[in-house]
Amino acid sequence: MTNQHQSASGARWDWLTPYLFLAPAFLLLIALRYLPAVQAVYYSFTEWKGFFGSPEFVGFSNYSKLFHDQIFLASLRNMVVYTVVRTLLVLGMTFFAAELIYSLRNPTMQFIWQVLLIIPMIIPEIVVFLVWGFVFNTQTGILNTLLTAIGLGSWAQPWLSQSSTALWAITFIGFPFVASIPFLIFTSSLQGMPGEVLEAAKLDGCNTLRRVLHIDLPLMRGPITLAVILLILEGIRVLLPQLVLTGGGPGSSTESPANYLYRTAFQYGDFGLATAVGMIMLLVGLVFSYLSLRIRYQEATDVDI
Amino acid sequence: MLYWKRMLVPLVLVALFLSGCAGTAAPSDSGATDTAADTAADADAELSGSLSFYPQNYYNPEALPDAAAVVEAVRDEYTTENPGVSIELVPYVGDANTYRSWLLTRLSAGQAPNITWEQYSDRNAEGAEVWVDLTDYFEQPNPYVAEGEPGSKRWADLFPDYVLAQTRGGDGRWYEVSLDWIETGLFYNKEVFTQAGIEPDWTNMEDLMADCQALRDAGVEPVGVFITPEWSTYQWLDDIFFSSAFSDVGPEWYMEKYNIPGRDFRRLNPEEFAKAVHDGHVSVDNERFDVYLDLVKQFTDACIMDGFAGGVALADVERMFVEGQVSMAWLTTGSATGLAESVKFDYGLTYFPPISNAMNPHEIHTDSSYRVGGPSGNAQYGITQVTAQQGLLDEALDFLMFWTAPQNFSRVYDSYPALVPMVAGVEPSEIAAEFQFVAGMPERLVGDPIARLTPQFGTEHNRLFQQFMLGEIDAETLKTQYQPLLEQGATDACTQNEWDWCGE
Repeated sequence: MTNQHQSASGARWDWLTPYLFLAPAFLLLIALRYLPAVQAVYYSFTEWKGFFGSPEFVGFSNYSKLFHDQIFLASLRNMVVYTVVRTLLVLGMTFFAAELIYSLRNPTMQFIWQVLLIIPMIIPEIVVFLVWGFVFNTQTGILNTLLTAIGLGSWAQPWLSQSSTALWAITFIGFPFVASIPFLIFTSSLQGMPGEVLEAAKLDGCNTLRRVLHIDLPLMRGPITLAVILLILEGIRVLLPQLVLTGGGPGSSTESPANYLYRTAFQYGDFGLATAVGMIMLLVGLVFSYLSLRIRYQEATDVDI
Repeated sequence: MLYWKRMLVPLVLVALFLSGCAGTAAPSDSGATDTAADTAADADAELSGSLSFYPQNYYNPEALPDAAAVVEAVRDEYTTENPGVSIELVPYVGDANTYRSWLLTRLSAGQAPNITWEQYSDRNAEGAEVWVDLTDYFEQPNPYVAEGEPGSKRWADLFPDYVLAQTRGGDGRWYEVSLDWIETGLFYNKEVFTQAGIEPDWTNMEDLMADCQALRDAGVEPVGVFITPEWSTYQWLDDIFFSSAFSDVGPEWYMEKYNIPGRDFRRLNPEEFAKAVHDGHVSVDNERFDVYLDLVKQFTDACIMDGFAGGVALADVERMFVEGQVSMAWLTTGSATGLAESVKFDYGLTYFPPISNAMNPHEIHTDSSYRVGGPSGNAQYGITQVTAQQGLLDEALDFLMFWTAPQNFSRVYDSYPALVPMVAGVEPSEIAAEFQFVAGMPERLVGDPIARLTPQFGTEHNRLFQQFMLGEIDAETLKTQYQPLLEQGATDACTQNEWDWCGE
């Protein structure tokens, strides 16, 4: 009887155990993510110099200032171009590479290629940008040297040193982009596809292209959406190429909202305005992510809505 | 319903992910400065408390262990003499941008080192709300200086007048001691010059530009200088060309309160420059502005290396010189030691020639260029207001006086003699002494654009000049966009510093 009672009592409190384990992480999440985010909403409506005393409420003044600032507007334009072009490029290249590996019949070779393509991911991102700085170097960069070597010397450019090419140059950093999270997502998704579907397609005489278009792509709408959201967020937050290579120039040709935010906060000490930039980035991220998810679930056949 | 549930979770995740961009630390109060009379270091009072000190490059135990050991020894001497005081040395954090982010974050949290390095222009922009005003303390004796020596009666006498003039804040006050100086020079590759039949004995800028063309014809890039929206070496050229174009009228903008006896041509204080903008003297409508732009463009086209406006930093220019990709590199005393170790060819040190009246009819210094050097060195130290609030001002001031005394700073300097010492009684190193010929030139009329009015003005100035130098915008477009920048910069500087002529 006692044992039964204890067991019943234990079962009554069992539901609590996972919450207890989750509590520390959740409390930290609240303290380090939710609260700053909520605070940031308030600070974006203030004039706040960080260490210069208390924030002073100024209404929408920071937002108004931003939308009248040509440099900030240019940074938004650059962000859209960078994000759209890079998202399409990365999606295309990584999906293609994942399909190529998936089409290899030998599992060992699949594994080897996967590892070879993923290994560069361990290189710190800042080193990648520094290396690409050498690639684009006007005098001795690999790109100009290569162009000259193949008789296209007239195409050689100061890639990072003129407004017409600088944004495109930083967009192509990391080409062919296979050492990236989307590649991992795609390869694992392809490997997880139901074998019977593929078997049936093969029996029906479906060729590779048709399989990719009519089976792989529809079945991978979820992973593709995830990759798109990650790439959009990466594009919105892009900062390292500006910090390492261009400073946002020439002119404002490579300026990004994140670099603008960084400079406003840490060089000009205008934390209120910088927080407003952060809020705009947040909103842009939400809108793009919402649209991506909407497209993903529109007429989707792979999920129950 | 399920659809919305599915939507909600990723959207919340996105929000949290991005909130990292917007999240900030809580503000801290910065109280008013105690007066010198209230807090003056009293020699008889026993000092006690724990201080933290960021000596910048002089304390980099990983990269410069010998220098770090000397700094520790000097610190230990002080704490032995003052057993109630303990001093934590904060190791080198990183380059200027990294450090600035680090410092601002700590200042916001009230956790910056009590005595710390910062670039004088940034420090002056922050002023008395963040830093202790040292002006009155400069008038007091430094007890650690030997009797009869400069500084023993008045601390400020330890430092040259031009250093004091350039580190003075826009409000006329001093918030730091500046103990070393960066001098610049044009390093040139003697072997390349010989092959091209060139001698660096230019009489004027036209001669140099003609030689630049000869070097280009020989397939070598002439001058290694770069420009980004951030700090860049182009800014030094900008200083020279602006100084030249406005040299005949610049001295008319000096304010009596900033004048130094015997220095008829000196650098404009930020207030003087802002007032000159406010009064319409510095304006795109001034014919001298066209001369200034013309000098910039002519020199850029003739001499500055290709690819100067992106993907290049100071370290890249050094590397390009070492690897022979540029025949000249405009660098500082800070680069000299590294070059001596890594350059494998014969090289020398020279400087820019004067600008003739043929190029600029307004130039008054036709026999010399302008000295580009400044107090933006490794040893610029100020005391945070938080230190005063913690009741540690006497301790911090006393240690700073101890640190600046020649017998102490000379040991620190000798352990890492990259720059030119600016403390009476401390001798420059052999390499630093090679730059002495630059020290004899007239001071430039203006400081770097980032220090001319506000940091924001400097960034926008650099953006426009990048495009102008690249030929992406013409002079008229630049002028249209530059005038509002100038006026805004002057207004912002005036408001921040509460100068009395702002509303005029």
